[in-house]
Parts: sequence; C-alpha cells; structure tokens
Amino acid sequence: MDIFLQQLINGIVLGSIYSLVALGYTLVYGIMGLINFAHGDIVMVGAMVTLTVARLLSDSGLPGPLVLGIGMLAAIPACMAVGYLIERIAYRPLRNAPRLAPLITAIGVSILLQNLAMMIWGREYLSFPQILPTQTMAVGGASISAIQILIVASSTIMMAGLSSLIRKTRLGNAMRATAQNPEVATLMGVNINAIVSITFVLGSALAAVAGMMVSAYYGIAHYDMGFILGLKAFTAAVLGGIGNIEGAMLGGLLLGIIESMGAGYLGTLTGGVMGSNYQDVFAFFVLILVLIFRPSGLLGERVGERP
Amino acid sequence: MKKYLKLAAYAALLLLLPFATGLALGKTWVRILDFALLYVMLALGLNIVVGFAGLLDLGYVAFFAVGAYCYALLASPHFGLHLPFWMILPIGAFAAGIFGMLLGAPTLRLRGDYLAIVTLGFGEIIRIFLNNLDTPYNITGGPQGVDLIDPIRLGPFSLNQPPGHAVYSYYFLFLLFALATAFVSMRLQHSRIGRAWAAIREDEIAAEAMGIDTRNVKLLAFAMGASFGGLSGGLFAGFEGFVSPESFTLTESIMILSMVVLGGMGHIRGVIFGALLLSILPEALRYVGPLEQSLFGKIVVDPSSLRMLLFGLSLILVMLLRPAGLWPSPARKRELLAHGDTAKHENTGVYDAGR
Amino acid sequence: MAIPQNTRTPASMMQDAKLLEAHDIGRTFGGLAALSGVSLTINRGEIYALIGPNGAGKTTLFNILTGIYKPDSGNFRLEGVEMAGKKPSEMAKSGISRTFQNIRLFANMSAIENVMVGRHCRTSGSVLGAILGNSRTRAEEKAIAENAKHLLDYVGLSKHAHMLARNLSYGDQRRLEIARALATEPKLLALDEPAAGMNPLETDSLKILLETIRRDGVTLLLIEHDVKLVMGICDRLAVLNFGKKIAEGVPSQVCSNPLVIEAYLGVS
Ligand SMILES: Nc1ncnc2c1ncn2[C@@H]1O[C@H](COP(=O)(O)OP(=O)(O)O)[C@@H](O)[C@H]1O
Ligand SMILES: [Mg+2]
Repeated sequence: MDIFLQQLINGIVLGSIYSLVALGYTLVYGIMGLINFAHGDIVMVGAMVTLTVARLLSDSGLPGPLVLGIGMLAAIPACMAVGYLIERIAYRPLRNAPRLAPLITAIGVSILLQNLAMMIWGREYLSFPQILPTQTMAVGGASISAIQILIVASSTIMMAGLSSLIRKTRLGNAMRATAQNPEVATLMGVNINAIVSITFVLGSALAAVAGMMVSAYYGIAHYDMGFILGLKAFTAAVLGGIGNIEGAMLGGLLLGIIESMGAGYLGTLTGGVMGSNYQDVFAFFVLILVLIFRPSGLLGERVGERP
Repeated sequence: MKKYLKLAAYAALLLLLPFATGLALGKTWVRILDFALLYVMLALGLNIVVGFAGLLDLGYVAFFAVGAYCYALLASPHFGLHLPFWMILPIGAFAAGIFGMLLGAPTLRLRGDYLAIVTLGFGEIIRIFLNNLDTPYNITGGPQGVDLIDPIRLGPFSLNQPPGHAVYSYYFLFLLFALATAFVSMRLQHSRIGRAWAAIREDEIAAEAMGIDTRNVKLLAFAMGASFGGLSGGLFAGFEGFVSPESFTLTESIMILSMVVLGGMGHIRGVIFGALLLSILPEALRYVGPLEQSLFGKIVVDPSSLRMLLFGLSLILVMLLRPAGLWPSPARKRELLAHGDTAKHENTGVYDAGR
Repeated sequence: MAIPQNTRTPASMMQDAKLLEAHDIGRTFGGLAALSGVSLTINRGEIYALIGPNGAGKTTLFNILTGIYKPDSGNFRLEGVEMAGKKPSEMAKSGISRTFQNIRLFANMSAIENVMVGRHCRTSGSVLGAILGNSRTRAEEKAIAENAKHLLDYVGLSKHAHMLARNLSYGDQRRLEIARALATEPKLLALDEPAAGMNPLETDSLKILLETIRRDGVTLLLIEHDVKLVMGICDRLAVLNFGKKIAEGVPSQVCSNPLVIEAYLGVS
C-alpha cells in the first residue's frame, strides 16, 4: 500500500470537512469581527440530527444515499434555526459592547448547546448506522471509499456555490460591502441586520453538512464532538487568513493534509519518539510558524497601517 | 477611623469565613473556598495580560500547569526529589514566566484574534506534551500524572496536619497569596509599567510613537501574568497532592477568562468578584439535583448537565445585561455609557488601526 | 513659562545648526510612489512647515521620520546620527516626537495619564520598584505626575486633567496630543495638521502655543493646510506634490513660485 498517497487522500477528505466548518467561522468573522465560539457545536447539532434520522430510517429499506439526503433535509433547517437564534439572542444585543463581551456569550452558548444535546441524546457515543456501501476503490496503491468521494465532491460543490454566491450575486455584494465597512454599507442601503442573519444562517447550513459528513465518516457522534472539530476548523480559518473565503478553504485542506501526514510520518521522522498522539501539536505548530512569517495568515490581506 | 473599622470588619470576615462555612455547609465547602482563592490568583494573573495590556490569551492554564508540574516533579517520589515549597514556588513562577515569554515572543506582531488562537494552541501543546511525555522517558507521568506530592510544609509543620484540617490551613495560606497577588496587581496598575500596558491596550501605534518599546512591555505582561499562574499552579499541586493533564484543559482557560471578563476586565475588585462568583456558582448549582428530587419527586433531567446549562445561561445573561462586566472600573463604565465606537476602538491593533 | 524638563543649551551655542538632515527619501505603496527623492534640512530652533495638496506624501514623510514606515530609499540623520530603520520608540527616545493627523490619544485614559505615558521613555521605574514602592520609585512617580501637570498647564488644559481623553473637545484633544508629545522631551516636534478642525479662535491660540514651544527651544516640523497660519508662523517651508519636493524656502519666496501656484490651483 502506498502510505503517502493514502495519507494524502485521507488528508484531503478530512481537510474538506475542516474547510466547510472553517467557512462558517470566516464568514461570521468577516462580517462581524467575531469568533463564533459556538460554531463547532452547530456542527454537532447537524451530526446529531442526521444521525437520529438515519437511525429512524435505517430499517426502512430506503437506499443509503437517500436516507442521508433526508437526514440533511432535517439537519440543515435545524442548524439554520439554531444559528439564527444564537445571533439574535446572544450576539446582536452586544454589537456595540466591548469586544470580549460577545466572546463570553459565545462561550455560554457553546456550553448551553452541549448540555442541551447531552440532555436530548445522552452522554454516550452514538454510532451511525451502516447505510452506505463499505467497499473501497483502489487507486494507485491506495483505497478510497464511497463516503470519502461523497465528502470531497459535496464540499467542493458547496464551496464553489458559496464562492459564486459571494462574488456574483447582489446578496454577495452586500455581504462584502458590510465586511469592508458596515457604516458605509448602511449608507448605501444595505440592511446590516439582515446580512448578519443571513451570514449566520449560511454558515450554519455549511455546518450541518459538515456534521453529517463527520458522523457518517467516523461512524459516531457525541455531544462534545463540536468542540475539538471547531477548534481545528478555526485554526484552519486563521491559517488561511480569517475573513477570507478562499483562505478558509485552503487552510482547511492544508490542515487536513498536514495532520494526516503528521499522523503517518511523525513516528518515523522522530525515530519513534513522537507518535501520532502528537498530531495536534503538529497542527498547532504549523499554525504558529505560518503566523510568525505571515501574521495575517496565508491569504489574509496585509492591511497597511495608516496613522 | 471609619476606614480602619471597615478594614477590621473585612479582616474578621475573611478570618471567620472558613469556620462559619465549615460549620454551616461542611468541609466540602471550605475546600470550594480554597479553590475559589486559587481562582482569584489565576484570574488576577490573566487580568494583567487581558485586562491591563489588552492581549487576548486563551491558553492561560498552560502556565498554571507549568507551575503545578514544577512542584509535582520537584517534591514527590516521581524523581525522588523533595525540595521545600519556598524554593519550588519561585522556581515554578519563574519557569512559567519563561514560558510566558516563549509564548509572547513569536506572537507580538499578531493582532487580537490571531493572538487568541496561537495562545489557545500553545495551551493545547503544553497539555499534549504533559500527556505524552511518559515515553520514551517518563518525565511527566503521562495521562496518569504525578501523585504522592509532598504537602506544603512550613518549617516542621505540614499543612496536612492534623488530618482533616488541611482545608483550613490551606485556606489561610491561599488567602495570604491571593491578597498578595491583589496587592501586586494594584501596585502594577498604578505604575509606569501599568500605564504603558494601558497605553498599548488603547492604541499600540501611539504608544510605540510615544517611546514605549511595545515589544518589551508586552513580553513583560505575558511574563508577569504567567508567573502568577505558575505560582498558583505550585500551590494547587501542594494542596491536591496529585496532578494530571486533565486539570489543565482549554475549558479551564476559558473559565478563567470568563471570570476576568464577567467580573470587569481591568478592574481588580471586579476580577476578584468574578473569580469568586464563577468558582462558587457551579458548585452551588450542584444542588439542582436534590432540588429536582424534592420538587418533582424524581430526577427529570440529568442534574450535571442541567447545572452546566444554567451556568452557560448565566454567562449569557450577565453579558447581555452588563456588557462591561458585573463590576467594571469607573472609567470603563463611563466609556460604555459614552457608547458608540468602543467595539471598534478595542479592535485596534497594528495591522488594522487607523482605518 | 518654560517647558519644565528641558535643560538645553541655547541653539546659538551649538556648533552645528542642522538638527535634521533627510537625504533622498523614497517610499512606494504597491507601485504608487508616495515619496521620491525628498531631501530637506531642518535647522535647530526653527519652525519648518511642510505643505502640499492632499495625498502629496506629507504624512508618509512623517511616518518615515518617526519610524512607523521604513523608507525604501534614502536616509536621514538627527544631530548627525543615522536614524533610518529605527523603531518608533527609538525615534522618540532619540528626540523625535509627533502628533497624528487623525488624533490618536489613549481614549479611555484621563488627560493627565495620557501625558504621563509620554514620560515613559525618560523614566526607568521597574516592575520590582512598582511592587515594592521604594522611595526612588515613589519620587519618580511624583516627578512624572508633576511634570505632566506642568505640561497640561503649559498647553492650557489643567482644568481638564482628570477628564477622559475621549470626552475632551476636538481642539483640546489636539492640545493634549501636543502635551503628550512634549512629555517625551523632543528635540524635534512633528505636528501633523494640528489646526485641522479647529475654529479661528482655537487656531489663534494654537499659533501662540506653537511660538511658545519654539521659544522654549524645541524645533518644530509642521504639516498644515491653513495657509494663513503656516505663512504667519514658519521660518521656512517645503512644498510637496505627488511625492516630490517642488519648492523650498522662506514663505515669501515659496508663495511666488509658479510651480507651487500651479500645484495648488491645478489640483483644486
Ligand atoms: N499605508 C498605506 N498604504 C497604501 N497607500 C498609502 C499608505 N499610506 C499612504 N498611502 C498613499 O500615499 C499617498 C500619500 O499619502 P499621505 O502621505 O497620507 O498624503 P498627505 O498626508 O500629504 O495628504 C496617498 O496616495 C496615499 O493613498
Ligand atoms: Mg496627511
């Protein structure tokens, strides 16, 4: 088996998921300058809802992809609603407050969501029913599964869609204007509140899809799964340059590949001293290195200071 | 005269508090008080970085860990070293200070939110190393951590003696340290250095143009804040007799940050209040289980998640109702009343200022 | 009243009259040459003005002289010492201090605290001193506070010493920036449009303040749009246009320079 190719494929799959989640962070950050700490937990909600639907329908005889589709149809609106509510209740009233105030409400929301989820779905790991075909395809010494292809394909489609939405539509224009300068955007007739709500809802929809992917790919879901995933995705967003859409995609992919390569080679590279348990260190280390040399991330603009 | 009376009243309250608590609520609650005092120290330490200098640090618990492991490794059978605590505490504080500078050095050019993620990553890195440095050589004890740590000893007296009274003796030791921390914070705030911190928090470019070497001053903030953390870490290890990576998670960093922000960033009394409140509230919420039992005759929802749920809810509510914290400094209150561009103003960093 | 901390030798006793010499300074921003080949000499004790249309590069030159930007080419000396490439804080320590075109006070600190921050680079209180509160530190603190009070008085702000900077009127904020800059004991004080947004009354008293500062031995470099103010106060001036120096000299000379007239009329 070709370890390099296999790890590359695994990395791309993992990276696609990171990218989707990172997009949610970057969209919200771009518009509001806020780290939405609860974003990872929205991914968890997406995973939990899909998993619930999949469990209900697993014996129904419907084909696996259709079941997943129905799960998505349930998870996306659910996550959108959660995202919308979070923004209305916990962030909007604090728009003019000191910058750390919304960070604390975000932390509060995250705790709230996790514990609500724990009440609804329990504290055990839930397993995702086996509804997708498990056979794999061999590609030049490595293997790819159906779910892997599905993940990469659908996240690519979603990212392309989001990109053109932001670049080519009126809504996208309004979003970019708001990100650049909210006051001027208001003067130009942009309804900031609506734009912010839409941004949250969009990010949450991506999170729902990401949640479905993670739970179907790894076969489990858990009430605090959003935390570490959110952390990684946020790292990816920063790596690419937070606030930058392409940056989030690139950062996510890179982080996925770096982690996966780290897991594959760290042991050999360090003569067995550091195994794959250092995978996370490796990811953060790369992040810190990148930021030292490019303080605004890979694709982040270097905003010139104009005193 | 009135001032002295007030002071005497405070002193009496602080001296009697543990005994009254012990009588009324039992020793568990005295232990909770002990922890609350540790949190006061931690929150005050983080307040130097976040509140005074305006640098968002999400990995503060790493310094607590450094202090705790210093103590654990230098006073336990793990390496067979048994140094006295008055030697280890400064070593731990110093080591944590060095780590603070190590963290600070590469991050100086980063603006707010990038700094947040790097500090967060740093916290995780330290924890992962603590978790894994049991192979190939057993340095940290891995996930099991280090146990049988020597109790803190004042001359021939161990604070664990007589057994069962440890929580009281540690209360007084921690109280002493917490007061000292508050005193040092106060002195620093109203000093040349404290003004320089405030200046870089307000406008880094102007501060630099006025002759403040922002690099050194920021490093100093990191180092000072970190050494407070290291100090409390040492005390924690001596008190618990046991350390493991589990005590030093990101959640803990977030908790300490919440204390600072919820109490009133930059305002020493507010931060102390925030630390006391957030360390006692979750414990008080443990009573929701019994309460549920008595109200409904059975447990309707898992009390531990209900407890955390209420905790999350109160974080949200407090911030919505009092965005500058429960007890902000007078200046900060005025600033918030003045309203408007505060949020933007705080965002000012090297790369986005002046826009 | 003299600026309190200054114990300078009068300009006439110095061997060298040149305080600052800039040579061939250039700086581009993404292809746009904000400054190119600018050379100028500022003499000790004079008020030197820099004028030019918006976007001419005046502020950019300030940012280079105060270390906020590095020049792409050229160099400059303060009292014969090479300065280009130093950090802003080092510039301040060497004696170049400034105000900002769009005021950059420490908004949530009181007026007097703002000035006290300016004393930072001329004092040395350490963390240990602050914690111990030893007599040396206390004496220094006291001196800092007194000095700051003095300077507030000097610019006419002692009434507002304890107001937050953000709550001061616009004109007062500009004065406070000057006091803060003076607290660093500059040899060269660079003021970026100090009269911008001031009413005629405030401008008049600013003029008096600037003349007082000069009389007390500080050399002034002044960017100003108010031509009446500039011509009435400066000893010499330079005109920038599109990043180039197009004229230099005493006010009457510069006024009659056809290039200058064209630059001003042509652009507006
Ligand atoms: N940080 C920067 N990034 C990009 N362009 C800049 C920057 N600073 C100044 N400029 C450009 O340089 C030119 C000169 O600007 P400036 O020095 O501010 O002019 P003035 O102060 O004479 O009005 C302008 O075209 C301005 O847009
Ligand atoms: Mg200008």
